[in-house]
Order: sequence, then C-alpha cells, then structure tokens
Amino acid sequence: MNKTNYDVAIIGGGHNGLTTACYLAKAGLKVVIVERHEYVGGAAVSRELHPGWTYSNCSYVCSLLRPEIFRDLELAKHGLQIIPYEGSASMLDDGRFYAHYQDHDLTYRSIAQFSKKDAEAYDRFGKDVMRQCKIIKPLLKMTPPDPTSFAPKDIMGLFEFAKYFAAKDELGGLGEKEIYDTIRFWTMSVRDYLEEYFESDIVKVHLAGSAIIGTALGPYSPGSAYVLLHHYMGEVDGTVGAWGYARGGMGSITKAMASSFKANNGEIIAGSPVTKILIKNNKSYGLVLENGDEIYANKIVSNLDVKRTFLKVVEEKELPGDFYKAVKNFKIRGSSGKLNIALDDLPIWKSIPVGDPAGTGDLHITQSIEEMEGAYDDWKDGKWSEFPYVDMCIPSINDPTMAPQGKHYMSVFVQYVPYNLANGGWTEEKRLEFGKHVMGRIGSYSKNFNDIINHAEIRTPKEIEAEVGLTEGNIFQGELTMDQLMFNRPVPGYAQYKTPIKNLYMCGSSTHPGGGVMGAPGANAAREILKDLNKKISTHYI
Amino acid sequence: MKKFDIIIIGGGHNGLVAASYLSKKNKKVLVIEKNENVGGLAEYADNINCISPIITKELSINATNTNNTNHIISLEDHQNHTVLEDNNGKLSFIKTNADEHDQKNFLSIINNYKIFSKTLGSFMFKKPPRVKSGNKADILQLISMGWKVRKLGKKNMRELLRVIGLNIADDLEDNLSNDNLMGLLSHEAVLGTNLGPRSPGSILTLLYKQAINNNVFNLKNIEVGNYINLLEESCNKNSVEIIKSTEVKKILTQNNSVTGVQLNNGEIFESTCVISNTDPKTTYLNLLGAEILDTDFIRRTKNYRNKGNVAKLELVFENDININGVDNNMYGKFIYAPNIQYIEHAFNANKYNKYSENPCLEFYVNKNILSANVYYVPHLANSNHQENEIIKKCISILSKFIPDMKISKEKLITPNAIEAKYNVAGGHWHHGDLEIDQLLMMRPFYGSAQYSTPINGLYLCSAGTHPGGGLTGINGINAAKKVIGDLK
Amino acid sequence: MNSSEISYKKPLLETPFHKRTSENCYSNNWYRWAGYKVVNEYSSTELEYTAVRNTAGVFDITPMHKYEIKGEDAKQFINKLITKDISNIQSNQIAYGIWCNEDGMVIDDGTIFCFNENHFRIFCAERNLNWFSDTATGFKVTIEDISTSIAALAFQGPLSCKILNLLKVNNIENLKPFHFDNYNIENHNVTISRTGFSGDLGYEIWCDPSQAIDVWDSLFKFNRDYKVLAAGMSALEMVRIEAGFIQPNVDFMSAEQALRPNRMRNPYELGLGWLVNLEKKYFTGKQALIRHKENGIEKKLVGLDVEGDKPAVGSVLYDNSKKNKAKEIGIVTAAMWSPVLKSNIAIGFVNKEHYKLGSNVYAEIYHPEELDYRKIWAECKVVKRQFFNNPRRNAVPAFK
Repeated sequence: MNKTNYDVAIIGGGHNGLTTACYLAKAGLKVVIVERHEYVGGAAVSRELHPGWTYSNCSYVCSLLRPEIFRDLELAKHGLQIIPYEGSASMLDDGRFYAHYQDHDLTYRSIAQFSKKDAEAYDRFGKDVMRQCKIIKPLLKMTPPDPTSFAPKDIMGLFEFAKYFAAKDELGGLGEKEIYDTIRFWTMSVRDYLEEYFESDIVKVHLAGSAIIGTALGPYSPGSAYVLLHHYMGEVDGTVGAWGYARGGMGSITKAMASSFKANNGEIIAGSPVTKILIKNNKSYGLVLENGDEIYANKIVSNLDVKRTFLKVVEEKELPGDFYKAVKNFKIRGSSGKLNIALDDLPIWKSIPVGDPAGTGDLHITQSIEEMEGAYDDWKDGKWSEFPYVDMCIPSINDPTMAPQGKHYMSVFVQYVPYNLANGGWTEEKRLEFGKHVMGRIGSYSKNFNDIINHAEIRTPKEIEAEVGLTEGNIFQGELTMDQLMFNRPVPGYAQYKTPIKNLYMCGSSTHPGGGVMGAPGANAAREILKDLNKKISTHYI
Repeated sequence: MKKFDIIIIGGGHNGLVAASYLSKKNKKVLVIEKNENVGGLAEYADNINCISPIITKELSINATNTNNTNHIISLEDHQNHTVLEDNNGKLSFIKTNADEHDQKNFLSIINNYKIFSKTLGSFMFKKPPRVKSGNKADILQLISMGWKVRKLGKKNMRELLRVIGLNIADDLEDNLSNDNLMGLLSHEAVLGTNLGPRSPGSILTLLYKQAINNNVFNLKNIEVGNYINLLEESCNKNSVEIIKSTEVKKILTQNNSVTGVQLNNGEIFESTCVISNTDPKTTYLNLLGAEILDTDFIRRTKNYRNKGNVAKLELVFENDININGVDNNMYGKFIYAPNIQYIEHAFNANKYNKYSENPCLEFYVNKNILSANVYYVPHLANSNHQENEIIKKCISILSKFIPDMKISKEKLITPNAIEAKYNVAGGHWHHGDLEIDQLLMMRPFYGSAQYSTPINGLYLCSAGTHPGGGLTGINGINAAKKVIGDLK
Repeated sequence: MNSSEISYKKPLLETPFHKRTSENCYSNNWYRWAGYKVVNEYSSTELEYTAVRNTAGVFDITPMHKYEIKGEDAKQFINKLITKDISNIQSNQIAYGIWCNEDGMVIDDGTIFCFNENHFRIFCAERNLNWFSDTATGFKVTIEDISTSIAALAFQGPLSCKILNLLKVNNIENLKPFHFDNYNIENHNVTISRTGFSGDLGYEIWCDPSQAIDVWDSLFKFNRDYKVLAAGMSALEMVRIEAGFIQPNVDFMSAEQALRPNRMRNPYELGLGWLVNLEKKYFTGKQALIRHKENGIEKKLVGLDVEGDKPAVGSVLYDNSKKNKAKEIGIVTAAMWSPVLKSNIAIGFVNKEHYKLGSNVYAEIYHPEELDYRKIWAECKVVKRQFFNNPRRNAVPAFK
C-alpha cells in the first residue's frame, strides 16, 4: 500500500478542480489531483469517440471562462486558443430563418423582418441585460457572505454588498428603479421578462433559449430570467455576451490547465477513483483510492458535486444531520441530453443558405416559447420532449482540428431529457429511440442531414452521470434556482467553499457562482484555502 | 356640483374600509359603486378565517364566528379522503390514508411555515418601505425588517431564505410521500396565483397568504355577506354617502392633481382626493387615461401581470348533498387536488390560455347548494371559454364523490365575467399576480407603490396594492392612513 | 435593391443616392449611419466643408429616421411627447423639439413637420418607434416608420437658394426658416424645408426614392459657374459643431440607451431649457423637469473657446491654471479647429461653478505630433454654444 503526503489533495480533475489546483500550486503548495479517468477535464473534454473525429462531448462552447483565470494560468502559453464565432440562428417552419450576427446593423435587419419594434427593442433589452451583467460580475468573484452570521467578515461582506448597490459611481449610480429592475430580473420568468420587450414569437424563443439550457425550469418558471445571465455574462476578448469555440474542443481548456498545473510542479494521479475521504475527529486527512492506496494531505478539496461528495465518499456518520438532509434535498435534476454527431458532409439547411455566417454559430429549431414550455411539460412528466429545444453547432466549420477534411462534427445539446423515464426507466432501446427522435427533428430542417450521419453518440442524463460523475447528469452540478444561489449554494451556511468537516473544501460548480465553464468556483475556493493557510499570492483573480 | 373631502371609487370591501376609517376622522366621504350592492369581489370569497385585527382595532368591527368551519377534507379518488380538524389554528387528523411519519411531517411543515409567515406577517400590516428613496423612515423600516428576519435565529433564517425562492412541490416531496397531503398543501399555495406547484415562488405565496390570514388553511368562518353589511353599517353610521348602481367614467385632473370624478351619466363630483379601489390597470388606463401618464409609467402599467384564473361554480341540487366517505358532521372545506402532478397538469393548460381539462376544485356545501372555486380557468383577452364544457368537467369530478347527482341549476362565473361585472381587469382575485416582483414595495409597480400614484390626490386602495387580496382590509386602512398623513 | 431582403454580404443598406455618392467617393471613405452606408469623405473634407460655407454642399441624409404620425389625436400626441408646446403650430410649419423620459432625461431631438392638425412627420437621429408607440397609448393615432420610403438631401450653404432659384423652384426664396412646402425641381415633386445642421442658409429636400438620382443631378447642374460639392459626414460634423447643434450618443447618452443611469442628461444640463414649457398641461417627464428646474443643475453642456490651435478632442477639463492644483470639472464631447471662425472651438460639460458665460476652465490636450503626444494645458473660455450663426440663415427673402 502506497502512502504519500501532500499539502493539498483534490478529488476530481474537472476545470474547477484544475483551477483550484493551479492557484494552490502557484502559491508553492504541494498539490495532487486524483482523477477517476485516465484523462482529466471532467465535463470539459475532447474525446476521439469515433476514429478521426474529436468530440467536445459534454460542454461544447466557451465564453464564461474568467479572463483573469485565463491570464493567471497562462493558458495561451499552454496551448489554449478561443475562436469567437459569428452568430446564431433559429430556423422557422415556414422556411425563413432568424439570425443574430456580429454585425449590429445586420442583426437589426434580421429581426426587423419579423418585427421592426422588436428589432429596436433588442437594443433596449441588450442594455438592460448588460446592466445586470455588470451588477453580477463582481459578485461572481465574491465569497458569498452568510446573512445569518454575526462574524465580522460576514457582516463586512453584507455591508460591502449593500455599499456596492448604494454606490454613486459604481454601476453608474443605481437608483431605486434600477434596484427594483434587478430584483425583477432575478425573480421573474424569462417569458414574462421577454414579453415586456418583444412581440414576435421567434424573437422571444430565440432569446429564451439561454435561460433554459441545463436548467430544470421552463421559460414560464419564475427565476428563469436570471439564468440568461449564465449565458450572457461571458465574454470573448472583451466582447461581452460573445461565445467561442476552444480550438481542439473543450478539452483544450483543461489540457492547458493541466499543463499549467504541471509547470508549477503539480501532480496528477489519473485512473484512480477515490472511494473514501479519511476523516478523524471531524477532520479530513486523506483519501482512499480504489486500488487501496492512501493519500494524505492537510487540505482535501472536492471537485465532485455536493451530493457525490457527501453521499458517496464521505460517510453519513461524519456529518451533522441537518447538513446531511440538506445535501440529500439538494436539487440536481438532470434535464439535458447531448448528441455528438460525425457527419460525412456539411449539413445543408432548408432555410439558411450555405456560407451564411448565421449557420456557423448555434442553431435552433424551436418556434415559440409555448413550444419550449411544452418541451418542459414533457420533462416534468418524465418523458423526453417531443419538440425538444436543441442548441446545435458545428465547431468543425471554424476549427479544422475537429474532423477529417471535408467532414464535420456537430454537437447537439438537447433540452429536456429526464434522468428517470416515467414509463420504466431508460433502456438501450429507448436511448437509441431518443437519439433517433432528435435527429429526426433536426433532419426535417435540413436537405441532407439524414444522409450524412456517419456516427452518433447519444447521451441522456444517465450517460452524462456515468461518464462525468455529475449526479443525475445535471450539467451545472445543481440547479440554478433562487433557493440554490449565492449564500444558499450548495447548502445554506456552507456557501463559503468550506464544509462541516475541517480541512475539507468544495470547489465544484455546486458552489457559488454555479455552473458553466467559468472557473470562478475553483478560483474562489483556492482563495479561501489560501486565506486559511495564511498564504498570499499576487494574481489577477485572487 | 357636489363636493366631498374624499371620493372612493368602488364599494368593494377595501373601499368600504377606507371610507369607514376616513369618515371616523371626520372626513366627508363619498363611495361610488358600480353594482347594486357593495362588497365587490367579496361576493365570491368563501374563505375568511377571521376579521383581521387591524379592522377590529381601527373600525371596532368584529363579526362573530358564525360558520365555524373547522374541517378540511382533501378528496381522494378511491374515497380514502383525508379529514383535518382545525382548532383555532391547531391541526389534527380525523382520518387519513397517510402513515404516521407523513402525518407528523405534514404538521411539522405547517408549523415551520407558521414561524416564517409570522415574520412576514409583521411586514404585512405596514406600508412597505421604499428602497433607496433616501428617506430615513424607509431606511429604518428596511433595517427593522432585516432585524425581524435575523431574529428568527440562524437555522430558521437560513431555511426561510431558502424556501422563499423554492417551489412547494420540492419541499413537500423532500418530506412527504402521501399524494393527498401533498396535493392539499399545494392547493393552498397555488389557488388564485399564476403558479403551479412546481413553479418557484409557490412557497412564498403560501407564506404570504398564511401571513395575511393567520392560518395556513383559509376557512369559511365568517359569513362574508355579514361582514360586508357591518362595514356598510359602519360607513352609514359615520354618514359616508354611498351611491350604488353608478359607474365612474373618468377621474378628473388638472395640473397633475385630482379635481374630482365624472360619472357615466356626465355628472361630476368634486374632490381634491380620490381613492381608487379598482385595480391598477383599470385605474390608470381607463379611469385616468394614459394620455396624462408618463410613457415609462404606461409601460409598467401594461407589464403588470393580472391574468385571473379562478372561476366560481354554483350548483343547486334537487336534494341535500351527501359526500361519499365523509360524515355529515365533518363537512367543511372540500378540496379536490389529489396530487401534485394533477395540479401541475391543470396548471399546464393555464399557461397556454386554455382551461384545465381536469380542474382542481375547492368547495363548500350548504344543504343542496354547492359553491366551488374552479381552477385553472384563465382569463382570455379576446374570447370566451365554452362555459358548458367546464361545468361538465367539474360535474364529472364531483360525481365521483356525490352519488346520484340531480342538478337543478348551474352557473359558472369565469374571470372574464368577473372582469365585466366588477371592472377588475383580468378578473384576478388579487388584482394582480402575487410574485416577488409584484409584492411589497414593488406592488403594483414602481412609481405607484405605497398607495400613492403619480397624480397628486389620487390614491389606490385595492388588492392591487400591498399586501394584495384576501379581504384583510389592510390595503384600505393603509391607504386611508396615507391619505390622512398627506392631508396634514 | 429591395430593402427588406437581407444578406450577410451586405450588412449595410445603400441609399437611393448610392449610385452618385459612390461615383464621387474617390477616397472610398465610408461611414455607418443607422444601418446605411454613407460617405464620410468624398475626396477632401476641407474642400467639402469650404463648399458648405462658401457655395453649397449636398449631404445625403436619407438614413435619418422618419415617422409618420396620423390620426385625430396627432397633435395631442406630439404635445404629450415633446417638452415644448406646439398648440399653435400651423400647417407647413416645423417645430424643433426634444423628448424626455419620466425622469426628465433627454431621449432624442427631432424636427416635427406639421402637415395639418391630424398629420405630422418626425425626423430624428435615433430609432424611436417603441417610444412613440408606447407614448401613443390612449391616443387615436397611428405611427408608422417611413424611414425607407423617403430619400433626403441636405442642401446647405450661401448659394443654396440661388441654385434652387436657377432650377426654377418657384418662390423658394420666400420659404421662411422652419417651414416647408411642396415644390417642383425639374418636373419632380419634392418637399423642401428650410432647415439644416449648418447654421447657415440651407434646405433639406425630401423626395421619393425613385426620383433621387434626378434630384441629385439637378443640384449639380450649374457646377461650371457655381461649384457645389457633395459633402460627407466629416464635413457635416464640422458644420454642426460650429452651429452648436448637439447629437445624442455623441454629446450625451440617450436616456433610452444609457447603461449607466448617471450618464443620462436633462434638458437644462444640455442647455435646452428653452425647449421646455412647464406651463403646458401635460407631457412625459413634466413632473421630473419641474423638480430639475427647482433643484438646479450640477453640470451643463457649453461652448468653449480654446486657447491655441490644437483641437481639444476628448480632453478632460480642469478648474485651475496650475496643473498640480487642478480639479476635474468636466469633459469635452466635440472639438475642432474652425476654419471659418479661425478659432479653436469645443463643446463640453462643465460643472455648475463654471458654466456661466465668460468662466475660465482648462483643458488638457494630448496633441499627436510625429508619433509623440504633446501635452498642452489650454485655457478655455465658456461661450455660447452657437459659434457660427450667419444672418443669411434667417433672412426672408433668402435671395434677392
């Protein structure tokens, strides 16, 4: 039996685990990452699941990754390049298409085809959402203060929070009206929110997509407007709200992080699932691996979701009853599926002409918010959506490394797919049927799609859970609802990356500010750990 | 041309409360009511637990508890109904198919909610403070609200801050397994709102209603007609002038100040103070007219969500009504919302402006008369529902529990009908959805909260103001106090 | 080209004058304006500017937003929209007005053409369809965006009237400032208004897009003797600064578009208080403007006469002649060397201690000189924003 001592051991090499690891290693600590798979990356991976093709088989586009982290970890030096893409489009049943382009005037005219008023309102909407992005941006970096605590740092935190909103110059002096607007934005349904700006179905549904991706909410659910932020607050080179591909697939991000980590003398133990966190006297001190090896460390950090951490690798007896119950009740319902498709040719759409940049971004086929909500109704009943919302993109158009010459890779994100099917659970047959159904829906908007499919990987929340380890296949490591955000995330009283077990921390998307390939939870956790160790590092983020 | 100190548009119960309060302060008050009788929407309110203490205190009105409904019956398809007894807010099971664990958890959830709603309750009776108005009183009130929440203690405060944004279904499913009990509590949470059990915010609506009613189950203890009569008497006693069967056409203004009202027949009453008890949309867009309102304000008025979705069904039977599996002496408030999914499915239709194929029911039985709230029957902007179809659906549900139904008379009042009769845009019980963005200082919307309006001398006192509907009279009292304060 | 057809290859629309403007745009220097491609500089901004001040210049202003207001409440609607009172407006008269939001913050300005009580047309710089439509709630009016169905030229300069006269535009010399009428230019029916951005004699010509090229050509018909030049946006920017006109989202943020609430400006701050009539019964923002007037303003957009000859573009303004003791008191929004005035002029915000005419403030100018910046600490005098205002502008008849 091998026994090794480290300053910090991190369970799971997802992008947040890697981010935490990098910052801690930069501070001169001896850090090890223990990863279940032979490769790191968690849900940000590139995998050759079909010979010649590289799939970003979980997450597929990049925007939220905090630029400070990119810079601190020198990810460019370690091989990461982000390629911004042009736009997005929704294909209509009547043969037209609706598109957003990088060019503002072109976007205006594209919307004006459907409604001049909406085309104009889009600017006002953009401004109002941008204001919310500005408001939330510093909050992402913040360890949420505990509003119930009387500890000086929490009181100060709350005070800072209040001061921030009261400030005259920051945010351009928010007035009473803007504060109410913020509360409204955080609590309203995306449908109600969009109704205040737009009249055209296709405009509303195209914009609403961002609010439901990955969530167990429908567009009519209060709180869904806020989720828009999780898809708007990102940026590519200062263009807020822009999205891009990581060259070589999403795995390039975590590969670069791993390389940065190793450059700082970090160690990665791959292919070694952790079976148990060693705890004595309410203090964690090590890990047990599947092969029986034990690893000792002063600090243990879990990149696993909160459920997996405390229901699988920590024994119940080590946990306070309230905490255990709260973890059990943590909402982490999977609602998304994913198809990764190897194509022999470029799909030709019935509506979008070949060469139009609208076809090179994310593509959608949902016709109205009602249809989208109907897809959610199916999910609530334990069925996959008959008319699913799909977020499709073909990274190989922009990224030559993803598929053989002349061939293409298509990533299809599908909303909604339940973790448990009502009529008897998932079977291999049903999984294939689900995939066929989605491809059929896509096929009906294309002239050649059905004939060019070379290979398809079909993933339901079950497969996502099995491969990535995300409980119930929830891509955000926990739903982004009001009861699970900020100081409530993941569990009230434990929103500061610490746990009831001393020396055990959390750094995954289960913690504030939540999911998306952002790196903020990982960096925030690193900051808290360094604080506890009285170590200081000077970086852009921390 | 007659002159009054204060004119109140609409003799709904908040209008009467305000009138009575103001007349006690020696103001010459006129109430103008569109219909033959005062009371407005109260006509359809089955449930009031008690007269809210603020009414008793300010108006010395105390209706005695005449009906003493203290049973809650949650109907179940296989006749395994749950019957609860309510003894002044203390609940106990008379019969149920739920196991002991569930019974215990059910009562403990309700107790938890009670603690939270008490905290919220302390916000309900006061005028809500404004955020960042720069006004000291507002800041102090905000701090005191924060303090009250903190006083809950760490554990409860954390739980409150969590459930406030949660949906009722999740919290129930975390703690219970009995469908009937979960349906019952979900019903209380969503009735009269535009939410389903799985909509975030549906616990908040329950806490909110609980805070207003001082009980999780709103029961028919007070005869509403009787209460309205007492209010009317109180008005008469203090020589409030009440004109009935008269509709206000326009609120008159000059230089951004109220000068009076004009009736449909052209007659004008003068006053420098008008309180509107109609809903905000009707008040602003119809009675006042958008022409004299700022464009941003018009936008907010239009964005106010006020789609009603509860219909009232009245059935008269040839014989006295007997409910299967429930003893006569246990009759009380009947609820048919058998499980969460059933309610959620009913809610699905509402989202698409369709009535529920399988609606939820809440009803009371009085000998051969059955009066029910049916939801979801959404208000339609440009058309009407097939009322007969809805009645048929209801009867087919009721026939599961009432043997040999012989109905001699049936009547359905949809939100559209309520809108037409009472001038309540959207026919909404609460004159507008009870969701976070339309509560407290944001009710009904920015620029119109705290009972005042952009027009000097014009006030709101309807359910569209804080704290919403529910026959509490708080809106009326608070508005009247605001008027008195401003007149000083 | 059908304007409703969109193609990613042509993100910008071409105006009906495009054939002519592109032929003359030797420098291939284009400018984006409201989704259109318009010329920034044809060949030399200096010469184009000089033509406007010396003979006449022709600007393609088709991208202006144009809204048709029709209906029995049209006049009441306008009166609710804008801050000044147009109750007494006559047919064929034009009003210049601004509109504000509920907080009294300026959204945009525009010229409002009165055809009759029930028919108006608004020309403005920003898109306003939503604001107009929401403002129209409760009024019997229809609001239509007619931006693409009218071609427009600004014909500005001392000879503008003479040339129209040579083109036999009947009685054009008697068209009064801020009036318009229907005329005929070589058998084409056009609407001509005596309006413009130049602060000089000038007209704006509105016609059907199908006649655009003919109308354009007519204006250049007498070029052998009277050299008229097509002028680009750069020249327009120069003359509008000299005339003291301000532009939303250049000199101030439109209240509908400002991300930061404290970037919005009220009319008093913009020096447009004269456009606000608080006696008027009702308009959006009236209550807020009453408060603004009472409370006074913290800063004001003023004209600045800047020492030296280096334009104070983007300069920060200070209160003291000594740099190390100076406090920031404002910012320049537009600046230029004025060839016609031979002075260094600027428009900028200064705080309330300094907005009185004659006050002295100091601009820190970063002047680029051969890959280096010279930092100049220039004294500025607060002056009237209207730097250039030739008596020709308002003379009737305009031409004898």
